[in-house]
Amino acid sequence: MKNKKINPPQLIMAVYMLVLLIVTVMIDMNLADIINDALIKWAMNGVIVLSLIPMINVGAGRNFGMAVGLSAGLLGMVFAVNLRFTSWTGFFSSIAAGSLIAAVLGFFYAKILNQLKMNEEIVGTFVGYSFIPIMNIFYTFVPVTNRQMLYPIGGQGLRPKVNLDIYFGQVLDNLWQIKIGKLVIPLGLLLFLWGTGILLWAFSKTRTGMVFSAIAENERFVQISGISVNKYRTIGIVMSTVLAAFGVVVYSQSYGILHLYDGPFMMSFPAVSAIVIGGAGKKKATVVNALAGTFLYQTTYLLSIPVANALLIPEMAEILRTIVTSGIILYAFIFERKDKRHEVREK
Amino acid sequence: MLEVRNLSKQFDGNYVLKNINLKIKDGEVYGVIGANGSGKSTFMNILNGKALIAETGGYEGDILIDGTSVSIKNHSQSTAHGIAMVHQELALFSGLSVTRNIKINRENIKGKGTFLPEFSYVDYKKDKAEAEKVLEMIGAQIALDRMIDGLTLNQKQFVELARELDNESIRLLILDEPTSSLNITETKRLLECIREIAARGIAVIFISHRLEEVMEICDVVAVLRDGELVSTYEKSEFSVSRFADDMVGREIVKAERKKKALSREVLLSYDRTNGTDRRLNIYEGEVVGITGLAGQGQEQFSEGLFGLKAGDYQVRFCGEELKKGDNPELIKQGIYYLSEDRSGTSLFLESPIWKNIIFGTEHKHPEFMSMPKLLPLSFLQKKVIKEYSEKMIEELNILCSGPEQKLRELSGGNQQKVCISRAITFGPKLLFVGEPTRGIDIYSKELILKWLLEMNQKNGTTIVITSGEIEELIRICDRVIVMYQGQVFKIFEGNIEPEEIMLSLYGRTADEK
Repeated sequence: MKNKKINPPQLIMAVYMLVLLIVTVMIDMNLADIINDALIKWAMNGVIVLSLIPMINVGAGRNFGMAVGLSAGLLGMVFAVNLRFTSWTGFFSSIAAGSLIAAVLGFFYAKILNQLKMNEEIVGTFVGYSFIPIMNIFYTFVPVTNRQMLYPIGGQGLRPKVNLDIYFGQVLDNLWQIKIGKLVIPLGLLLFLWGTGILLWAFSKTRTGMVFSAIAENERFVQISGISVNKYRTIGIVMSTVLAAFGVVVYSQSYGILHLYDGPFMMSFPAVSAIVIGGAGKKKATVVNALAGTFLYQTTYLLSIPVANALLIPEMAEILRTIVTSGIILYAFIFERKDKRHEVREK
Repeated sequence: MLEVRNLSKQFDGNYVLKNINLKIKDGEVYGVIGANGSGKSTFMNILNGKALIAETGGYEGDILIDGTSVSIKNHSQSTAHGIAMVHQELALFSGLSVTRNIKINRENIKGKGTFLPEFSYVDYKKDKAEAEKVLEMIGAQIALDRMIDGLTLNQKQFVELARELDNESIRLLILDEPTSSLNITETKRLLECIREIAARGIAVIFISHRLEEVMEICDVVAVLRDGELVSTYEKSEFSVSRFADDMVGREIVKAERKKKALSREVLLSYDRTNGTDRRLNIYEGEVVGITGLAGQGQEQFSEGLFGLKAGDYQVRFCGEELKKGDNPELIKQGIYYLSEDRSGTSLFLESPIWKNIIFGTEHKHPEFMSMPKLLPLSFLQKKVIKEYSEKMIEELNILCSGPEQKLRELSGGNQQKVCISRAITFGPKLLFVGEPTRGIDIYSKELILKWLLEMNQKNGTTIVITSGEIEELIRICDRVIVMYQGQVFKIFEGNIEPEEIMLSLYGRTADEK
């Protein structure tokens, strides 16, 4: 890591987390429970945050249209649950089916974003927002035969929430658990997260990875060098979309519930917020940025619930979370704008 | 009226203006001429109080108006001293009427209140009357209510002139290439107008590339070369050849290139340029220079080929038709382009040197890859790349701390050397280079030229250089193509006389001196 500078987001979040931790201990919360939960939260959200990396590095901005990939992952799980696949079969067939759908959707998503360069983030937000209602209609008439996924009355259309416990809920969470006293370390889950991270890191070191960062830095130069910029952007966007599908499968198995319909509505903001906290810029993000950011963000959120509930109004936790999430994204925008202006003046 | 003493200006230690001394009288038309990059625009920018000057450390020396020293730090100070400038690129509000444009910021106001004066009502009638008076004075007949959009270029030029003249405290008017986009009759009108302005006692600084106009209208002409004022001529001493001589400089450095028989094998040809039947051939193994004044279309051949700009021609490479802007195919054929816009299209400023040296050359150097067969997913052979970069850094004398240093931290000359070393790594059949020596110190200049020649002589690379540095082109090129008004004006070969090139830059030939 060359960029060792700690920016205000990291500092604020770290201090905030520390304060929360002290308060938590003061109100007699069980520290082991908190650590257990923090690890689970970290890994279950981590893959989704990692999915942002290819798109940022290829210069296509932070994937605010993540709903596309998430929906693909949800469809993959619908497919697996419909066939009543359980345990690992369910998990992996969800991932396989989800990736396939994500690759196709990602291709068209990339087509849209390549038409509207420089505005990927706002365009992505709207692609995501418009895609969810389309999926909602789709969920209502998708021909599913597994009655457990259908509305009990009428038997038509998928339920908003499908319980995964009898299929593949927690299958990854429970893999290779290490128990030390009250501490439970979900090694399998963590290895999955780290493995994805290591693959992404290795990818960034390949020639394609080098071209990715080159595009983010100077697209015209890459173009002149005889490399098709749009092709690489498409690859990056498809990668992000597929990884988002991966991420939602990991998330859902941990959550134990398949949350359809508006489930993916508000998932991109926390993910973007997390990677920004981790120190990622608009055009450069590392695996360390994503993992550190997710840990900080999720742990803070986790700690704030009991603390807020004990000390403040019960709903305070959700309010705080929204303020922090949106505030961090706003900060990132302002910070980048400032940087840009600074550069212009230097010239 | 205006006196300038020892005016100098440096950008990062490079002096672009050196000890300029001149005096301009009231009512005088003062011509300033010089080749591209001779410091004309810097001089004007200083007088006009451009923000760029103050931001880069201000100027040295004194500017005196009516004998008292003044300092010009920003545009409003310049205006307060009665200095006005009409730019080469017009600065008008296209959605406003002629009157509004002329009176902008000097509107007549009805009943100016003490309270919120910004919201006072504008007296459009009075504005119109005054605008009409100014336009009449310069002899332009333009309907006052028309929108700028609908005017011809000539009319716009007059509106801009009228706007500056409407300011009654104006003492000095600077005209930067006012005729560059006008035709002959329009030019005539404008020149007459300038003379009338001067007759009213306003001093005019007239910058133009068209020498005949300068000779016609100016009372005094100053010639700038490499930031120095080389000579000043009174009206009686005017001559085009003198101007040309002074602009190039008399001392012509000995040619570096080895004379060789020019191959007549056509490597690349531009057919039907600009809709005409003309054809431009690039021969195999030659070094050819393309030059011209700013904006005469000299970049169309390289930038058009690589799809950065529209180019109105068909291209054939080794007899095969090429698609413009199909860069992967161009690269595959071994055509490489180093753009004059280094930071914009030829460098990754935030990346280390090694990446800038090898980028886009991997398919020619499998040794840079650890698993060449897996090409797109192969890891990089960092050790080999580093050694290679170190070798390049040493050979081209790139001043840096090592291959890991970021490009942004290098000087312009060293950045250009990195570009050249990438071209060497690529080993093209045909290399296009834009302004290879712009903004570079003399020592690095020679090194870069030397390497370009070496590529040509050792590897047989055909090189096309687009540059405004005529003296350098003469030294290293087998042929020099002069562009004028978007067309190939003349092609020089063999022993090239710099004066002849100078004249042809302005669309003239030697025999019509």
